[in-house]
Amino acid sequence: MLRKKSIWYGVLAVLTVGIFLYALSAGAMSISLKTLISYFFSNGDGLSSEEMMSAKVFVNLRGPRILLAIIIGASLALSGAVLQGLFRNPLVDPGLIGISSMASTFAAFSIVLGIHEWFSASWMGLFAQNLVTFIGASLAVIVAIFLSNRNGNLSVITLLLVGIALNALGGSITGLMSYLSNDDQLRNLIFWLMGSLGAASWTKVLLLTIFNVPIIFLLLSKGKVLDSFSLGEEDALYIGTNVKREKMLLIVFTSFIVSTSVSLTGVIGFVGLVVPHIIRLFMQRGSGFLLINSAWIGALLLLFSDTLARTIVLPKELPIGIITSLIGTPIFLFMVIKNKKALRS
Amino acid sequence: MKKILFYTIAILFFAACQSENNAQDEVQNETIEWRIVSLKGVYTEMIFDLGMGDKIVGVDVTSAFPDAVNGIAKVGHISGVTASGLSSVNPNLVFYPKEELSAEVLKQLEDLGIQCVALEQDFTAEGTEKLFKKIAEVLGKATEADSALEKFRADMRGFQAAPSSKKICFIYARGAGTVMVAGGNTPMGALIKLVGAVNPFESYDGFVPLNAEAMVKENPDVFFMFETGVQSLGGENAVFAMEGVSLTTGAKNKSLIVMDGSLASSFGLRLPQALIELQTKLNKFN
Repeated sequence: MLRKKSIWYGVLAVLTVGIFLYALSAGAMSISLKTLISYFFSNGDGLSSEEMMSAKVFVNLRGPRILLAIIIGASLALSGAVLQGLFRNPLVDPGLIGISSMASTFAAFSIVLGIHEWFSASWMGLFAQNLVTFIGASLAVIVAIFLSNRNGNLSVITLLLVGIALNALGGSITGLMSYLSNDDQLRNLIFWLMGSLGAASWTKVLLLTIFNVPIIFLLLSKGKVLDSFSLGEEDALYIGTNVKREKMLLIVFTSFIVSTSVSLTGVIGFVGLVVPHIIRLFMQRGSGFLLINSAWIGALLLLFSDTLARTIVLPKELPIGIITSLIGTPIFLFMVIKNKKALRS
Repeated sequence: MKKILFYTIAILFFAACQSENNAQDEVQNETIEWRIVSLKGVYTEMIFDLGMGDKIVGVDVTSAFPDAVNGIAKVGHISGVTASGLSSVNPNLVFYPKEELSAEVLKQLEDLGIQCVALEQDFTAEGTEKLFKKIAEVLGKATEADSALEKFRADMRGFQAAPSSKKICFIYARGAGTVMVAGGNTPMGALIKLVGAVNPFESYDGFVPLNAEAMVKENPDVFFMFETGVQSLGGENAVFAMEGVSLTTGAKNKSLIVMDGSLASSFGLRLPQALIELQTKLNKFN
């Protein structure tokens, strides 16, 4: 047992180091370690202007993009793991209660009707659209929670049904918006819907560090609570879990970190749904183990996918959603086939 | 019974009106009375240039010039055009960009007896002439076309390309993060080439979702955008603040050319005007 766990962490450590080195070194600009050392420790003395530029690219573009991928990957996968545990349903992912769909709808409103231009005070500039999208995502969460709330207790079934309705509504409005859009708006919209980390910046990393990172740590500590939920809500209550409060807390927090992620990068599917499954298929452990590993592997998967997205078709970029699905699906199917027995239990 | 009677009378009444209309049409026109749908901005523009603008009954979303277009029914984006949607404006002639209209829609339109003409265009002065002649020929306006082309050639002679090594990057749109720039085989890319400057992404076909590091690597001297594009990003400063763009020479020198989208992208008879405008604006950054 212990041996299996140490192999697991060993493999994870190797993967982590490998993916980090790959993400740090790959890109359109080639950047040498020597350049970076000189840039950081001797203010770039003796560097050519080209080397200076490559160091700036590393600091201003590649660095924040890597950090953004890590935080968002962890947020999405962790939310998936929490919601699957909470709903005791392996098919749940953060998109299910309509967050991504309503976020997309508001992004579409924003792009086609120019709503974000009303907000475009100069201090906000490029963030106006992110803000409008975040409002959409939050609205979905508020509507879903409001409708499924009965005396402070959330009905999971109602929540899922409201989610289905919000998804359908969001999908049709987004469709209507794309019908109304002109050529360049349509391009904007499609690219938004496919997700991208291309606009990573230190400001965004800072925003997510303030909003998401504390919540990620808080959620990581909820292993015991989720274990109790796995017995069913009634039994969880008997063993002393404050079901109402914990349920509300978990849903609000997961929704929040998904909303911030979606509003900064567009819709990145698949990570939240599949990462927890991949872990479950390898290792059957308690919820605590599942949560920390979901966050970890989610971060690695998104970092690896994003590095591929920005490098394999240079100077172009691929939408990241395509890559996460292309990498995740085969691993997932392979695991399903190999572990038919584990799934049946 | 009353209902049936009512409907019968109604149908007979409409039928009578219709046959009257048809009769009038025939009296008015010895030749064909065109009812045209144009599925690209430049076709619409050229049909107006031929004095046939009043014969257009439907246009797509890219048709924005001349202003008279605003009064014409919109049939949507070419990728979403349907036969039933088009037949609601009752056309007898459809101009569409080759291979952009789906084969099913095309077949349905032809089954309805609507003449469909596929058009192609090279983004050069000759390409524009060829396209104009083709449209004029279909509409039976060859003489009118000749005099308009006479003026077009004279205007083109008034423009001189000024070769320069300046790299101009056209930014089309921006989604969640990735910037779309004009590669080769796009109107804006061709415009950059025709004024004598360099499009750093010439070797890529169509519009390119560009990696931010690659933008820094190519390091454009000047950026070029549509008015609407700048507006949707929230102004000039927002353009220069975009990831990747902010590290380029163009952003450092705040070099941005802004043009009207319908003028810069059409490659119609206003091509000389577009070229002169781009060149004049470019010269400010020398």
